[in-house]
Amino acid sequence: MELQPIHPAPKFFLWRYVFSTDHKVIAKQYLFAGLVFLLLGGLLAMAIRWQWAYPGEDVPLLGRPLTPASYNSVFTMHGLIMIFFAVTPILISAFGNYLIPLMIGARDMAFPRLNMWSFWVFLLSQVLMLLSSVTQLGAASSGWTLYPPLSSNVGTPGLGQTLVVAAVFVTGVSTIMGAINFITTIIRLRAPGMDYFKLPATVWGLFLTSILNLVFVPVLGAAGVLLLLDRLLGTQFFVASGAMSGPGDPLLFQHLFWIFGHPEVYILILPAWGFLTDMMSFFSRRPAFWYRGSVWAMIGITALSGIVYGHHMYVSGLNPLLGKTFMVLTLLISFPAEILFLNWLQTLWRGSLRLTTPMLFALGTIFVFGLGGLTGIYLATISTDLYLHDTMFVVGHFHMTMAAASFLAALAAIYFWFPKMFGRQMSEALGKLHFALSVPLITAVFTGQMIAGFAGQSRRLFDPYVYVTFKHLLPINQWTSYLAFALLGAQAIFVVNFFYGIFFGKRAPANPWEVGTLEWSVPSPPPYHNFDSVPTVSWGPHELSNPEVKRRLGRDWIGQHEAPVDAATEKAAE
Amino acid sequence: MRPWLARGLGLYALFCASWAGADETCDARLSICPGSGYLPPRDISTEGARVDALFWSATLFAGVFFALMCLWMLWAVLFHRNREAEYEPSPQGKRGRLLVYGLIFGALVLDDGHILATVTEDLGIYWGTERFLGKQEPDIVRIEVNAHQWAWEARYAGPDGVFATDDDPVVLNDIRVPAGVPVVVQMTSTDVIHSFYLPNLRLKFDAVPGMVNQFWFEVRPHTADSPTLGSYEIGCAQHCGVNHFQMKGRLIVQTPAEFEDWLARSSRNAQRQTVANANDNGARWGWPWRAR
Repeated sequence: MELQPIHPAPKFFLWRYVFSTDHKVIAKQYLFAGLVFLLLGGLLAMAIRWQWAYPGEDVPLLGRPLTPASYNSVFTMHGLIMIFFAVTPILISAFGNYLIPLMIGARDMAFPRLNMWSFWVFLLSQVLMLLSSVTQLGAASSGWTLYPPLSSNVGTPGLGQTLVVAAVFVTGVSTIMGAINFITTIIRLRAPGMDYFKLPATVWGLFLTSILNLVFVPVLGAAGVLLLLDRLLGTQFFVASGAMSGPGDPLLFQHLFWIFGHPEVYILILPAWGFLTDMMSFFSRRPAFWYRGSVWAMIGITALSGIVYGHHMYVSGLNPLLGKTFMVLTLLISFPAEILFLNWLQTLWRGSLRLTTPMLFALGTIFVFGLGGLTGIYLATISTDLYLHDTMFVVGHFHMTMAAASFLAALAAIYFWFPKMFGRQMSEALGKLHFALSVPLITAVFTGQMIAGFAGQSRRLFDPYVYVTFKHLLPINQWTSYLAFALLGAQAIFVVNFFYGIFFGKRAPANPWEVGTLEWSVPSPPPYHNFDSVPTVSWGPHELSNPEVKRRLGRDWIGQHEAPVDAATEKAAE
Repeated sequence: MRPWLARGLGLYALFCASWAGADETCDARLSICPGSGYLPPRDISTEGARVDALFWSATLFAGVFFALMCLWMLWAVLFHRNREAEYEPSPQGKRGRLLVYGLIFGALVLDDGHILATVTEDLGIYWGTERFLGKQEPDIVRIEVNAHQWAWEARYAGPDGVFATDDDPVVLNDIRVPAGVPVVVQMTSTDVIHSFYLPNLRLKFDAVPGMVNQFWFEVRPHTADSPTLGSYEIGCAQHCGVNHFQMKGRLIVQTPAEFEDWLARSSRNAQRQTVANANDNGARWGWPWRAR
């Protein structure tokens, strides 16, 4: 008796494509919802860059200049949208939903109806965000970090800020639902023979992300609830004033927020690290170097991520001993990340590289993450952080690691799994052009931010040039803005390629990349039930250029489900 | 010299000069000096050089790492294509690859050790305010700062040496300190979290309502080669509302004699205004200096 028997797809349009429980449909729903908000977040970023290049001038398409109040809303919504409503749905929800059952040999998630509900709850949170911008006092304006007392009803009154805090809570609920599903599916529904260390690194990345989500999103939920109580019911968890202490403690919110907030950045990068480990192997045509080490490194980072959060609070008045402890732990967490890096570089070495579009974007991700990660050293070090805290250097650092790396990895993933998801192929030529423009531009834009920050420019300033000390930074800010506008323009190539591919692309074979993970063993796109018969797994996910396989099968790859190639089987076949 | 060489060197010199931070022609005693270049603003503090030194050593390490990584990837992309991919490294190949890990982690451990040692020493200085316990004017200058949306209010102890008394000079956005004397600041906020940012002293500290945070700094004594007297900007480095970007104050560094003179005059003015301030509770925000 199979764990997940085959049943036919629903025929009615609403159950088949709208309120679907099929993980593949839900994944695409998340993907499109995320891409729409990615565009929205990007436009908000362009507004910020416009203000810094041409302070006080009319914003194109808007027809009027930003005001200090509207500017505060713009950067707040930009941050929240990009983190919770763009990167999370694309990297985790879309690819997690699509790939996990296929890669482990399952027919669907463990809880298909919960899966469907998680998407609609997510959509509700997106609606709440949009609604906040049509309130009387405007959308939230306290920064994505929502620090009270500024984010309390005293600091930022109005329905808009409340709706946004509620939206964050609701999207947290959706994330937790998804995490429960992913974890249960990976633990319980792996095909026979699919041991944990035969899982593709992509699944490991999504698995560990889901564990972090499950453990730490509730902390954000708690902080959000306490903040909502302060805003709506007059409690004083976070409200205080002057030199008298109590009743409220603004620092309590910071602790709660960053206990979630730091693991959140690892949540946003772990799937990307999983993709990279797999793609380095696939496109070097050799096994991932020290795969066990990479998996244990990701596990190590997951374990450490919750105890380094204090490095966001060095200047807030923490006990110095606590500050030093957080610094040591933050420096330590770079060790497993270093292992991952070296493993990727070692995988490339003496491989036979295929510079396809996904591989180019994956290499670009490694490049920008290396740069961004190294700049983290300055921020982990307390002495230099005393100068750099809350400057554009921090902004450049997290954009380079989160925005650039996660964004490029998401593009690599889209280019890689597009044939499987849509049954057609995107243009390689347009993809390579997209890469050639995007990677240099994205590096330049965020390096520009770091340069401005090193010179001392603070973040979140409506007009940085009010400060005589930073007035001379107008040219570098202008240049960064021009490059950012160009970066946005370059994404048009991707949009055209993406939609052209969906409707008019060349039909894709089952395995265009010639790799062995299970999703490539089914047609493109897969049937509703994924696998006609549940596969039995014999091989690891990176079995490439095995000399025995080459000799007996004449190709440099072998599917995870294919029969073992050894003397016993040969004898039996004779 | 070949013309192309001269032009190249000229461009390189221009590039290097653009990074220089200090505008040597500006006299800060006349007005706040504009910044220039892409290095941090001119450092006028006694301890800021430690931060700058750490910047350079960290950049050296990170720069070498990054350059090696780029070269490695470039080599692989250029020369490791269209060949037999290596399934399993040979024994000496394995040793070579292991060597890479050893070297990188060795360097990482050394760098982190250096950072740890340096920061431990730095924090003993930056956050070690115990040595100022019990001290007061004229050995140190004590200031209480009350951050508001959107201005910096500061209070000095006055001739009686006690805070929250009628002879306290209270200033708005105009904080004066003597060069060569440690300044100890206790700070809070009336409304939201602000952050007191002195770019020219490489420091910042949050002003949190409900808490009194303490920090210290000292401006180097003024010399002809290294002038420190004059006006510098105080910034707010924590988003605090609509006018966060305008919350700038002025730090005025004076000679100890000028500072004493100003303090005496300001205290006399403060006492004269006591009658007018009798019912102004907002003006009486000082607290007894906390022993830390």
